Amino acid sequence: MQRISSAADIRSHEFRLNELHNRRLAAELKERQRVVRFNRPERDLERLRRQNKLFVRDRIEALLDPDTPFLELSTLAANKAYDGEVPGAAQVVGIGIVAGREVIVHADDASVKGGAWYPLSVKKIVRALDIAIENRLPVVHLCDCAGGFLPLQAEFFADRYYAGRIFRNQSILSKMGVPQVAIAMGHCTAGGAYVPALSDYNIIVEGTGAIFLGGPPVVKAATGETVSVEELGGAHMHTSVSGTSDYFASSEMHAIAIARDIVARFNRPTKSSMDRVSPEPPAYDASELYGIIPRDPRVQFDMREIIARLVDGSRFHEYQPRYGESLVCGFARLYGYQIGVIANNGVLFSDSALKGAHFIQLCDKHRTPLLFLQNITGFMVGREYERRGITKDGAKLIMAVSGASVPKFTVVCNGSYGAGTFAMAGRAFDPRFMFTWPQSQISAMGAEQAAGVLTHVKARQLTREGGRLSEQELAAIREPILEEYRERSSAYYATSEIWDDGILDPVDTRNALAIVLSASLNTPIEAPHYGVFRM
Amino acid sequence: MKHFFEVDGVDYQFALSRCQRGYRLRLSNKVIAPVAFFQQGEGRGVLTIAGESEPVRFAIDGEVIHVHIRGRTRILHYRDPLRTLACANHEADHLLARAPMPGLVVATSVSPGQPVSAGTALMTIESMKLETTIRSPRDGVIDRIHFNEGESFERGAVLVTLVEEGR
Repeated sequence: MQRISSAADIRSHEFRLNELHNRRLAAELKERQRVVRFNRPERDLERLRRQNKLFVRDRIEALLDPDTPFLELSTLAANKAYDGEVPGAAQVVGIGIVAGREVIVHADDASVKGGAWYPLSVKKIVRALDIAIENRLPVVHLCDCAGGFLPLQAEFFADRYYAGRIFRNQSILSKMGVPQVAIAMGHCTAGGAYVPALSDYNIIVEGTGAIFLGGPPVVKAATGETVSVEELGGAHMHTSVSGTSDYFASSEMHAIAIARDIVARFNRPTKSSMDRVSPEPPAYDASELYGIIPRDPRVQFDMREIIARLVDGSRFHEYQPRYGESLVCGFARLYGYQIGVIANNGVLFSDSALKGAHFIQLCDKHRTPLLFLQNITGFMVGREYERRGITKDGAKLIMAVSGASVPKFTVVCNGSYGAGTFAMAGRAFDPRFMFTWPQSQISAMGAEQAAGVLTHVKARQLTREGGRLSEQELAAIREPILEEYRERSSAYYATSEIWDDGILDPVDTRNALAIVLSASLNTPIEAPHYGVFRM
Repeated sequence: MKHFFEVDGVDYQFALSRCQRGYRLRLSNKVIAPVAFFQQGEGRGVLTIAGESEPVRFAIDGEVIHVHIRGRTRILHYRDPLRTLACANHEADHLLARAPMPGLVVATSVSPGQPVSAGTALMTIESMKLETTIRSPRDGVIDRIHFNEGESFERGAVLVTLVEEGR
């Protein structure tokens, strides 16, 4: 396989300006993540100490094998919601190694609103369990949840993907033979009580752990019965009387030791067999990505420069390099695993869509996982393109993306707009994992275009009513639309709403992809089959 | 397929195949055997050629290999067949920079008569919310610039024509 020869001039002024800009974005990301992970009001930390509880990060550290990677997912969930007062949506989720097994860790963060579930907390847990189902990953739940945040119950309780889905997903995992271990480290109340109850194994911590459908105040209100936490749902009662819990732990650390001992018994999964060679680092340094990603998101860049800094030896076997050039397709290796890469080098035309659909089927037939690198403003518009069938060719690409049985991974490197978002394996197309780079923008239309359309509509309405708008009035309408549009198409908004599995510092992308690629191979790859391609 | 190396301006083709004690090296019509190499740490080792062992020092920099053997340093250039064979026929089409998509010219960064090398930025175009840099497909001299700033063009239109150097 030929090495990509980079055309980037790393000594140019342009490169240095980009580098400054992108390093600043990466530093801002790291800082936001640090705050979400560790900054808590002193009184909340003091309350944990008084209750003899560990901070969620310390619990996870004790659970994981030392010096192994932990890929935290959706760290910045809810960063734009609830006035920023629910860091990480009060949940920590990630893929880590426990007793040598790849597992999903799901932990309630009791330092945030007592670990109450907000709508986005529920979304984050459901997503974590979807990941466990899709990739057959065992789950360790560290439970410390006071129950749902009741004022917002209409937004997380009854619908298909709301709280019930957590318990449904847990049941499905058990049915699939993918084990779960839960530790009741705090009060597991109401819905939260089912998390340990539906886990194949659960452990309860003496003194702090409790499981009940209704806590003492609810019982008092409902029946007038006065009962203590310990009597109602404590460790002694559940391990010796009700059988709701399996193991009694005298401390949190004891509980974690038991959990690790349980995981150490799990069968090791047989990974999907796949051609693999020894891994090799890229020939170009990943830190050069900072200088390559243009600081102005409207400026086009060659995705081969990105591929050269992600894949083994920067080697890339490009497929159909002379056809449909706005979509770069080709084979590469990532940590020794063969992958098919589909990357945008401009707007999608009929030929690029046909090439993409063909390449996806090729990879699918040969069990080659697909990596989508998005920088897409959409499909080409115009009379000539419609006459040549741009819509039906786009439909072919969407059909291929949806139907592919091999694992798909998506990284939004810059822009993700319109139907291009769909055709490039956006969230709705079930890529196994999806990550975003800090500068990315995701929306149905570009901010300027959308503000233009919306202002135009407003102006027309007024004209019909006999009014007319001055330039200043038009600007007064346009600016707030533009502002809100920009805000809601940012990577931070996308990750806040859990449209992705997290924002990545570009230099960490290769490692993150290696972890999720390895995880994805726990699930056997189905034989390829597709719907009807409109020819 | 045989491997291609260039040493001191001369191209060599050779092939290696397994034999009992290492490899068999076929160089044109000659067969040298056995050939073997044992690495002894960073950039050092023992090379066996036709049964005779020699200490060697080497450094590999991409496709260039520096070898120090028998008191002499030689520089070997590996010729990747994918590239070497592809370069064999220069296409006339490469003297044209075409529009990858319909759009309009934002800025032109070269002028006729100017020599450019492959990859030099020729023009910035705008289309579908994106600014794209049009780069020179190969080394040459700018012959004609077909569109002025602000003018629009269709996909596939020739934007800049080059001529080969020295014409």
